[in-house]
Order: sequence, then C-alpha cells, then structure tokens
Amino acid sequence: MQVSIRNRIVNALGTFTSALIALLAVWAPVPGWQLAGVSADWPLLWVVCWSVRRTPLQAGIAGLAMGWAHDGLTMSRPSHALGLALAAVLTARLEKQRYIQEDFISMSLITFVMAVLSETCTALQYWSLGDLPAAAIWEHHQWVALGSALITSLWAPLVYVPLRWWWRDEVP
Amino acid sequence: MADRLWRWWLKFGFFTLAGSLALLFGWWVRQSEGAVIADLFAMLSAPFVPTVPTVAVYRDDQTRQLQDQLDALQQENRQLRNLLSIEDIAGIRPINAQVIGRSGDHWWQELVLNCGRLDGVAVGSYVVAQGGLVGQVRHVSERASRVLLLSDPSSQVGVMTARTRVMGILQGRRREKAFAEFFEPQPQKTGDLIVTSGLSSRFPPGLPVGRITGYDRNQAVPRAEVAFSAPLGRLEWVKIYPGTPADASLDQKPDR
Repeated sequence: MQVSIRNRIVNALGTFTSALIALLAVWAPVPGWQLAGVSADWPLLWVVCWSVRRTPLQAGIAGLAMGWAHDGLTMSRPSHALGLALAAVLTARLEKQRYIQEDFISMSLITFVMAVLSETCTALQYWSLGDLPAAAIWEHHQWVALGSALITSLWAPLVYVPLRWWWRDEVP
Repeated sequence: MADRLWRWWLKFGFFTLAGSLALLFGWWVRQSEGAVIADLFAMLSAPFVPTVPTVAVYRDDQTRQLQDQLDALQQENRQLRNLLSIEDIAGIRPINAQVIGRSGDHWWQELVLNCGRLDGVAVGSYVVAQGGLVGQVRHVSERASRVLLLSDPSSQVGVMTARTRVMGILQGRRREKAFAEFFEPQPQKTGDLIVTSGLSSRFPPGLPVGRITGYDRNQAVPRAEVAFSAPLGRLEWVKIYPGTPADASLDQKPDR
C-alpha cells in the first residue's frame, strides 16, 4: 500500500508539472512555433492527451481546471473552461466507444477537431457577450480556428508520446 | 459504516482528492490572474533574455545624435508646456523592460514584460516602444507585468491627427493596422500622424500612435486605417512609464 501511494503521488506530481509546462508554453515566444501568426494551443493539447484514455468525469475535471488556469493567463471573460471541458469530455467519450484507434494519426485528428471546437466555443461566447461586431468575430474565428487546429495537431504526437509513457501504469 | 467509508476511500479517495486539488489550483490561478505563473515564467525565461540589449542600440552614433536632438526638443517642449501650464509628462523616468512573452491565446493581444511590482510597475502604466505608444499595463505581479496592446479590439484610445487636430477613437483589429473613427468629416491625408488626444483618460496627450494609410469618407462615420508606429508584432524591449495621468484607472470596461 505504501509503495502504491508513493507511486500515485509521484505520478500526480509529474502530471501537475506537465500541465504547468503546458501553461507556461502559452506565453513563450519561441520562433517556429507559429503558423501565420497563430501558435499551438498547448493547454488544449494537454487536455486532449489526458482525456484520451480516461473517463468523461476525470476528463471534464481536468478540462475545467485547465480552462480556469488559462483564464488566469489571459482574461476570464469569455472563459476558456467551457471549450476545454467540452473538448475533454468529448475526447473521453470518443475513445470509450472505440470508434477511433489510438495512434499518432488519430491523435492528430482528434486534436484538430477539438481545437476547432474550443475556438468555436470562445467565438460563440464573444458573440453572445456582444462587445465586438459579429462580422469581426467570425472573420477572426475562421483564421484562428483553422490555424490553431493545424499547428496544434502537428504538435500532438510529440506531446502525446512522453505523456502516454508517463501514464503507462495508470491507464494501461 | 467505517469499513464502507474506508473502502470508498480506497476506491475513489485519491481521485476525489486529486480532482479537487486540480480544480482548486485552476480556480486559484484564475482568481489571481495568473500572477504565480507569470512570475514563474519570468524566472524561467531570465537566462534567455539578453541582459544589455538596449545599450547596444544607444551606442550607435546616429542614434545618439538623434537622441540629443530629441532631448533638446523635449526640453523646449517642456518649457513651452510649463508656459501654458499644461501637465508635464516628460519628466517621468521610464522603466526599461524586456518583452518575454506574447498573447496567452488567439483572442487577446498581449505582451508579458520582465518587470513587475518590485521594479515599480503599477496597473495603468502606459507602455511606449521605439516609434510610439504600445499599450497599457493591465496586470502586475511581483516580477512580471502584462500589457494590453493597442491592436486588441477591446482597447479603445482617444486620438487626433497631429496636422488637422481632428479628434477620433482608435480601435484595434488584431492586425498590424487599426481603424480610427473621427468625429468630424474633415478629409485626412495618407501619412498624417495620429497622436493620443487630450480626451483620452488612459494616456497622456500627444503620444505618437501611428500614421494614416487609408481614408474612407463614404462611411457614415469618417474612418481611417492606421498603421501603428511601433512594430507591435515584433517588439523586443519597451519603456514603461509608471506615472499615469490623474484618472488613468481602467474605467473603460470591466473585465469580468
């Protein structure tokens, strides 16, 4: 029992560190990370990797926590939590039904879809807040959703492999 | 009963604990507006930030010459302003800061700077780079601060043209260029300099913002396209002016 608890704590700490790195990467202006002015959505990528082999509840909690933290790094209105939680729960549901095999290509595909979904959630919230003209929001959404989905899905396998390795005991 | 509780704990306890901790952490980061993450980011990025970037720029002879000219003009301007008893903004000592990070997502136009409360930065300070105005400090933590750029759509600035003194409002579009809407249908020329107006409560008047690159008088409100003087997309270092005009509180729009 002792060993198991220690393992769990080490696992949790590693998971926490990886989530923290995903949050820090949000600000990092590393050259080459951007595609047409849009950089990868690291928190979303982390959430998708986490959710792939977990229950919708676990995924949803992680999405919510990550979304709130991302709010802290940008602005809390509109919230990122909605899009991320939704993406996380959907990712968890996908895998459960075994529609999609788990490999690099499908990881990229899932990430692509979820990035579009999460940006659409943000755009919808902006639209409902009504602070900005709708045409400007949707014009920006097209550009951001596609750009973010493309670059995030390109990075997906590289982030997924080490995380999958770290969680190999937890979710066999 | 105790046995059942213990079994529940063995089964779900760790998950509940970890889940609650994760949610608490997320909420705490949100409420503290990322202060801890910003400080951590500033500390981690410190080794990658060149220590004396601005000195090299100033060493350049031509720059020094221009600087001298500017100083002379500022001195003259200060005297004239004093004569007119207008608020003097030139006497404030700026804080040199390095840009260490960019926008946190694709919807906000932000910068992260490596100076924070410890360096004397306060919320509401305005930020200037070579060329012109950049934006305003929105969040400050101990070692880092975050600047909302003029190119953000939520950033509205009262401006006027330096030549014709026509007032207007400049709004960002997340691009290199912004729109300025003027209160009077007086024709503007391409290349006219746009500066902050006295009506702006967030910035002192007279700071260069950009130049007009296109003018459309056929709109209901005369509208001009403005290219920012400062290269907002590739800033490396900026100056923070901690002294703000009297009512520079962020009265424009509540964040939440």
